[in-house]
Amino acid sequence: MLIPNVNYRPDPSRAIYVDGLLDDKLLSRLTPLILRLQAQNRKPITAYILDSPGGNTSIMHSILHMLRLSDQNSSTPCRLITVATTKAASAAADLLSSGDYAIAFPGCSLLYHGVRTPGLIPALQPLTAERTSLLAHILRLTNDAFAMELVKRTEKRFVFRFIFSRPKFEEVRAKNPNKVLSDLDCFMEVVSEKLSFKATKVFKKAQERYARYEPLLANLTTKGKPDRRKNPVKVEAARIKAIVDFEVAENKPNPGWTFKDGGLTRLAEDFFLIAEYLESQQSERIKYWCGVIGQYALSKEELAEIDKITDESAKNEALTTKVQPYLQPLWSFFVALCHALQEDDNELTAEDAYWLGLIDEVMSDTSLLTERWFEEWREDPPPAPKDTDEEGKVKANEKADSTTARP
Amino acid sequence: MRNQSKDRKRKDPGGAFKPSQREREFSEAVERVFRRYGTDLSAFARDVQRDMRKTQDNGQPNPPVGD
Repeated sequence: MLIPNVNYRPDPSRAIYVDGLLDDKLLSRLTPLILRLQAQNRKPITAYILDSPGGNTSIMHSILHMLRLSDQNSSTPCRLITVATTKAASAAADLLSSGDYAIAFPGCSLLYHGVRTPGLIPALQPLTAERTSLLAHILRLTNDAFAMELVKRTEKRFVFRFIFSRPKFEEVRAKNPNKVLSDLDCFMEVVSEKLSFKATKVFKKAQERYARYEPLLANLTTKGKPDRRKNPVKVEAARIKAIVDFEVAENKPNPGWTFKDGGLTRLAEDFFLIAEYLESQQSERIKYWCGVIGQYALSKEELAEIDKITDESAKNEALTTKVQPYLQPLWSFFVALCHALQEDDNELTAEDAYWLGLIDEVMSDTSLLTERWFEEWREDPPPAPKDTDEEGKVKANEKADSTTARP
Repeated sequence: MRNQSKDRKRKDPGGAFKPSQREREFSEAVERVFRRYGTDLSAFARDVQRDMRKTQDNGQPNPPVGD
């Protein structure tokens, strides 16, 4: 049975409503409301996003910071439940995904894209080649930062989609008997089938990005393992050299290819791509997730093997060692996806956002497994014991009394 | 301001990630479901969907949300 849990249920009596542009006016309107809700108690706060085209990202961050305020007792911040009803675009979509539990109504339109900085343009006027390059650099760094922030906010959802899709992997393999498919390949196949046409575009972009990791890394590792004690600039220089060699070798059959005409841009992209991949590899959080959902990723035999270990910390270590190879490719792909979401405009449906790990639940869609189910699920209480007489027959009147008296 | 001091406490000096109270509660919930259904999440989903249908068929309003 399901026992409703306040941490997963929107509550209009403790809510703020985000409508229209995210600007100073909205911030002024919401600030006293948020402060009042914060002062009342530490129960979750619901942020309803009704119809917002987005707006200033710093306003979105100010709202988020205020919603996550502690108090004078240094209490844990209130949990944030976000709900999009009609439209959440740009910064409003980021606000939605930032919720500790994010819900979208079916039919709701969601738009994710990279950072726009129209505010910077006047400061950079007149736009010279140097200043345009500086602007591109700022945008890249901001997008990378946003992508990694998105990873942290949404990782649990994506790991969950993967685990829940696992029973379908054998079906995918059976449909493609001539291919050797990894778990990640199967997962991509399962998700692809669920996505709308527009969402498929961003998913493919992420797949291409992820596919590029492999040859690049192979080329990097042949140049020897980087010494972490080395000056970071030297480590970066070694990476750049390896990428230059890789690009030259890869473009040998292409006579028109030069660094000047696009090659240098690609080199810069690859450099950042490798940085994001290596960053995701060293994540401590992936180890944590191995412990939480590890049992779902392993076979019965593998689990039995781990169960034999008596020491708890050794057991956890063994679980992580076993599960990390399963989750690591997924993790890297997810990082690639969060970066792909920062490119161009990506219009998504509520169901797309669910499958891409951007929200937790599509309101009233009971076909999509949610984290809430895990938290609200409890074993059914055992059936009431039957009261019998000496011959084992149920005493009718007493039975009736007992069934009405028991919950 | 965000409660940065608390955030800092969540990380040990080595920088290892430490789960929050909520994350620990979630791990327990996952463990509870695993103990009952094992790796068969489809069976879990079916049971939950059946429970939700039962609530809808009985025309019951959403039960009150507990703390």
